[in-house]
Amino acid sequence: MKLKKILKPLEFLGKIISSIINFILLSIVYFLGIGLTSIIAKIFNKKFLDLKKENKKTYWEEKEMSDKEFQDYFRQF
Amino acid sequence: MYILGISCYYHDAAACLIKDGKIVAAAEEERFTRKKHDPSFPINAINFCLKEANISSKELSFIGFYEKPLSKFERILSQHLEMFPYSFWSFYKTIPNWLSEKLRIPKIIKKKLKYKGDILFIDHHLAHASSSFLVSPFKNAAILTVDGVGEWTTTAIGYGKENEIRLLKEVKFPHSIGLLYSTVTAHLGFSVNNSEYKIMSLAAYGTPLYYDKFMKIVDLKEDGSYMLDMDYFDYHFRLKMPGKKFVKEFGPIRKPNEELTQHHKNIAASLQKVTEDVLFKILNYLYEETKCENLCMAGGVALNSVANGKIKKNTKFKNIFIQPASSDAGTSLGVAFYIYNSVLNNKRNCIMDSVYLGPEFYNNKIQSFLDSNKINYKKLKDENELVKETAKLIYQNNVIGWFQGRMEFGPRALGNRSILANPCNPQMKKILNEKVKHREEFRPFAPVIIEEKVKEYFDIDKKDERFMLFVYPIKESKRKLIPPVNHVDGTARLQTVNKEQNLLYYNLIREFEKLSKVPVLINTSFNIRGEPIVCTPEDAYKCMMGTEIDYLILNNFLIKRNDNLKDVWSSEKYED
Repeated sequence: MKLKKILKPLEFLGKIISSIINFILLSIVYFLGIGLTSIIAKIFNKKFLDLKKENKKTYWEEKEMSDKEFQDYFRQF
Repeated sequence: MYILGISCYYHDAAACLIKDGKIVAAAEEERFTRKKHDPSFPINAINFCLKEANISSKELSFIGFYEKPLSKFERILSQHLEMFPYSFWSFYKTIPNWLSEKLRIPKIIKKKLKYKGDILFIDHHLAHASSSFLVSPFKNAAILTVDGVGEWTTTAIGYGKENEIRLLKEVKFPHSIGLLYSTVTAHLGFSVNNSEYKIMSLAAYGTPLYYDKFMKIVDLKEDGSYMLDMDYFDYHFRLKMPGKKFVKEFGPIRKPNEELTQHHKNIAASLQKVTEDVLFKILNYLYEETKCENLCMAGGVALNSVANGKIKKNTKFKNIFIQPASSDAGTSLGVAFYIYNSVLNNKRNCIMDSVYLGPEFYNNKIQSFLDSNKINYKKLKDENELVKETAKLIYQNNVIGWFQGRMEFGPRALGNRSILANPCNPQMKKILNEKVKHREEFRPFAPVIIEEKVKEYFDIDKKDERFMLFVYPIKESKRKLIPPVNHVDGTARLQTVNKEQNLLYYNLIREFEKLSKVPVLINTSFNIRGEPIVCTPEDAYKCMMGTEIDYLILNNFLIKRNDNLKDVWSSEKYED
């Protein structure tokens, strides 16, 4: 019981520390990794999503469905 | 050859096991963990499937996963790259989950199942398409899959022939009719990926006054392809779905407990009309492309039973099969069949004519549960007595918890984990809501009818509608006979039942007909709001004792709530 009483606040403290570290690390990844890539891509007019309305006849896109090899199904992409 | 299909980590995690191209077992994880739409790794569902086949994971030939995780991750990163710096909060909230689970799928599967064999990854919409076509009664069929989003695809059309599936065209994220539906669900104060069907019910109370406003957002082409004006949405970079422009156009976001006004109902009606228009245009184009009269559908939007009921009137399709577990749960079944039939090139030998694929509990187990918990019960001597006694209790306006055989796979309770009640009593909707379901007033209850009488009661062109996936008009002359299932627009989402499908259930309705002259029962899922459908006798008993269900029937055991102590048991709390 006594050990539990000591461990609970420690666990809580651990959670706070881990969420602070998570926040710092993810912020670095987001602003340096995602941010820089995004800015450079935007300079070169690269679009990652089709957000703007285009004057197209159809919005259907042909789906690539070439015959797959058995090994292709092991891939996660 | 055993193949296990798994879907998880988004919503409705599930597992399905097939043996030599036939379904052995399938179940959603939520039924075991008691967390509605539980997305976590479906270890309980998998263990149940393996136990049902009496095998260990070593005997599995393949495991299939319901999407390509890296392709999905690519889409997530693309969203952040496009929407930098507005997507920071969404990045912070979602990426840890990707790093700890979603990018480690093979490791997690191998570790949790102690499995060393092959794991195959199948495109999400291909898994949806397979879940419908490969277990349909058709040799050839046109295929439509529509959901929120898979990897990139949100809507796909294609064709199935024998054991081969070709998805030909797609609409890609962020343009998604499913996500538009979810956005309105959120805007009207309901929970996303959970309450979309409530908007469908609410629509009947409204007039589509905002149809034109919606059509400003949806650029719909004659061939059914569409693009959304993303200025109205935030879901591609925030955890909230409606954007500022959407709120400006349709008014403030309704709070969950706020009153539903006519304005909200009109929004729902307008959205439903837009959804139907989009679906019918896609389907008409699909028919022109394939010239096939058979249609297979899957994906969350395929659970829109109001639209489904109108497909035949608005398109040239004559035969329709919709996967009854059409949401992501059904993709576990889809991947298993895709591997068996399409990847391994085996002939199709399964038609999915039943959803009774979950756990079953025999009398000895139930009796030992009842005895060990000192529950008072009456054992009915045979099925004849069971049916007679239950029909009499229903006729006397009691609410019955009906627990028989194998649990259903998919979102509908179809007579094995159902709450049954008298549809002839005009007060029964109120009674059910007050006693058990605590549902929103506007939501109707569904009827189950014996197959041979369906045309007497409904405007329907076929007899067999066993999966409760279509809404049909009730014949005007019959509406007064069954008021609790008659929705405000004179329709109902019906289930038909025949002897081969579920003999006990069929006989029960027959017996009720002898007393009431009406071959219909109210059938609603055996749960309370916010809780998954019951799985075990304990869940069922707990549900009865936490609500005001009058009687519970566990196989042959009749339990009266008032004969037992309430304080010992409490049901899970209900929430939206």
